[in-house]
Amino acid sequence: MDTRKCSEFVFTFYGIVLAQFVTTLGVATRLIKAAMDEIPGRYEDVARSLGATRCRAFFTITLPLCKRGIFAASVLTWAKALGEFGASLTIAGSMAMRTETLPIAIYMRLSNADIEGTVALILVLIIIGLGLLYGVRLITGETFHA
Amino acid sequence: MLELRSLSMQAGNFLIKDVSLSVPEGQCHIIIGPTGSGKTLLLESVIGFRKPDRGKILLAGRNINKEAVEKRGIAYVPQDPSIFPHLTVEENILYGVRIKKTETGMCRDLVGKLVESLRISHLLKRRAVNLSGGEQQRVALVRALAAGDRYLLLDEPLSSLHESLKKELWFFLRELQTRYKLTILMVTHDLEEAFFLADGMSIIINGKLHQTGKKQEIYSMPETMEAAKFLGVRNLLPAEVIRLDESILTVHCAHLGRDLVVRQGGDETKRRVKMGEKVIAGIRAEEAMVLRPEYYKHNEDNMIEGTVVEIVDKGASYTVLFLPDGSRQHIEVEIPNYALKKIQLARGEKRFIVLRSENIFLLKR
Repeated sequence: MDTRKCSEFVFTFYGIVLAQFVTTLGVATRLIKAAMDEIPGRYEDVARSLGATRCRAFFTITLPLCKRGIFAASVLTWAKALGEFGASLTIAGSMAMRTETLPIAIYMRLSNADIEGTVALILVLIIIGLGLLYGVRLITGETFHA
Repeated sequence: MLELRSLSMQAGNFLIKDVSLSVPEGQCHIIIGPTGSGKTLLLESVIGFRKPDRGKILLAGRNINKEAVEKRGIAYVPQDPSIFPHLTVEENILYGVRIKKTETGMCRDLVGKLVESLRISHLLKRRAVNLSGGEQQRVALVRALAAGDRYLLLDEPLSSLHESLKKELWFFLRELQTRYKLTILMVTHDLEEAFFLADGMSIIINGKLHQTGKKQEIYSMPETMEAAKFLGVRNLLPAEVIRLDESILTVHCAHLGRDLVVRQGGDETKRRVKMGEKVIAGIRAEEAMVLRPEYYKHNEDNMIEGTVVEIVDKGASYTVLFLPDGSRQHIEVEIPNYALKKIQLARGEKRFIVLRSENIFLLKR
């Protein structure tokens, strides 16, 4: 294994992306699968009996039907990535304004006893989180239990 | 011709075994049977949603067992209409047409006529989620027909429609079938619908094919006890064959304490039974008749004296429960409204009934 390639991720922006991708992949898969499972397979069956190939039936029937679910899953996954802390800190470190995510910034402010800055950032995080949940609820038209 | 040859398949613990039937071109074949008897499973294997374990499905002579659903050229209307909820009614109807690129003038005419006949023209711009069950079923029917396939599988397509629209659609389906020479394989448990639409019929019960043939044969000569019961035959009397003559056959019915003459089926019936064989003599309630007193002197076959035990008003007809003298078994007689008024029947009255010898059929015990 080329260790130089691995080092490209360490203490860089790409490291944050990698860390957040790995930690949220499982959740994203689960949410998207749940959205797709809600669409009865019978729709695709009927589409195929009308002449659509399996692929066409998926893209014209199943995918449009679960697009709201996929969008909601994306938003929630993004929200989870936004709050991700441990993996980002381990891989990307905590360089101010370079590899500083919101949770890391909160951690840094708290470490420096900057209580006002910490509270302000926590409030920002809470507002974003609640805003996203409300947005998802508007999109899916129902309360999201997750 | 659509043909199933020794089709067998298993779905969980349920088994469909050795089903063979054929639907000639341009005919309507109805599969009837109680709920959970495997009718839908059978249709799903013909359309290609399920692979049969054994047997062949032949469409115009070619084996389609391994063909993809979309290549089979069979339209399908499922029990749950499955109207695509993100599309409008019009987009639903034209889904298959657009894929097959058959949006020709003739097709537009057909779609227009279908839409008009099924009274859904006012729904065309609506989305499926805003349709009632009956409307969805009508849209599903138009969508399947519009795709232009000549083979059509219908899984109880009219089950959620109200009586008057359902009967109107029976005529419409027949007209469509004749005009476009459609070959239809349909599933239903509604006997009236089945006998109205069918050219041929099959009875399937618990995954087993009990009988297949022309509808008149099925109506007049059920071949198994289960088939007879499913077809609504209420008078099933244990009997024994005591005489096999040239033209008639006589059975002794111990429950009635008398002999019954059977003229049904001719050679066919005689081939099926042997002298001394224990059988079940069946007759439909509507084939038995209560005699008016002035006909008592006529010497009819199978005249039975007894008492009218009960008369039940069913709207269009009456069911009369009749207990023959010296018997433990009731006989049901179905009498149309107008006829009951003529014969002026009352409960507790002594009367004669006749079990028409040409309408009695025999089943093996």
